[in-house]
Amino acid sequence: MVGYVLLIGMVIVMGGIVYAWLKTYVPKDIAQCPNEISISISNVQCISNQIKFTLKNTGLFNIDGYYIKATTSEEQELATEELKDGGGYFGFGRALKPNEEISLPRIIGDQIIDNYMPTYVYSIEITPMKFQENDKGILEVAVCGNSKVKESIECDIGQTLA
Amino acid sequence: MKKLNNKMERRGVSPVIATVFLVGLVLVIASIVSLWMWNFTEERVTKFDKNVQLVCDDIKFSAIYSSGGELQISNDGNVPIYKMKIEIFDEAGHNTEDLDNEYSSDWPENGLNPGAGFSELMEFGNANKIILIPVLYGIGEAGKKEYTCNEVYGVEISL
Repeated sequence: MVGYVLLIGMVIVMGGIVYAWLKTYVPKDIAQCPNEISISISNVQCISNQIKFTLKNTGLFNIDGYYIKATTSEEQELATEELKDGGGYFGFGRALKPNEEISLPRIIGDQIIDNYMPTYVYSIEITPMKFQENDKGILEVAVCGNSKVKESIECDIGQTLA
Repeated sequence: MKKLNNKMERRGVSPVIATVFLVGLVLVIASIVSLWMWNFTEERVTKFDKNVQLVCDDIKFSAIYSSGGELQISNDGNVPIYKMKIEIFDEAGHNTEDLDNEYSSDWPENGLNPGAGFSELMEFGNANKIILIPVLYGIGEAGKKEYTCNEVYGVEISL
């Protein structure tokens, strides 16, 4: 009798240990962007120390914001200079629906909502982002790295070169 | 004959004691073996509630070494890249270093967040190839722990 109790107890403890260990190996989906996210960029201009452009949602899903990076030298192939103070993304506030377009930066009253601080910019790269629910139902930021777009521009602080 | 049988009956231990003794022995041996084996196992590190080895699969980044000697990295995925190991190949062989310790002074302190970029001028001497291997920040048994992903998750750049 004592033997059975010990044996069953041991099996339960071992089962618990193995369960806790194996649980972490179960794949869980992190927030991912749908493949059908697409964005286009147009009317890129440099005015004063602001880069102005128009974004259009050319995909099938809403877009909630975007990351903006720039190349700051002619040789640079990858845009790595973040044009948002402190990094991160600019949110649209209200999601950009398919076929909808928005001119940026938005100016409400005297306040510039999306404030860029470019130095010398050769091209800008826009990566859309979307809030996606994870498997716990919590909204997470999903970066749509496959849908990024790049546009050439040449601007210097205070003057337009192209 | 009857006397001998009686003597034998009196000598053995009871089945309960024998079972307890046996099970106890097995438990002691099992714990010794498991303690010994524990040294050979890798510490479990988790990130986003799953094993960090699986998170390496979700990393997505691009990297370029420009002709001007600038290493450019862009994190295009949803996983923050805490650090980067750099495997440098030359004619003599290869060695692996920490990008932030040995080559970079600008690597972000909290890592390269999703959507972020990094660029810095670097020289790799006579190297003909480098591989950038991401390092993640997970939670181990004793708290926060770094985990270097397998080389297959790295990006190879020919110089």
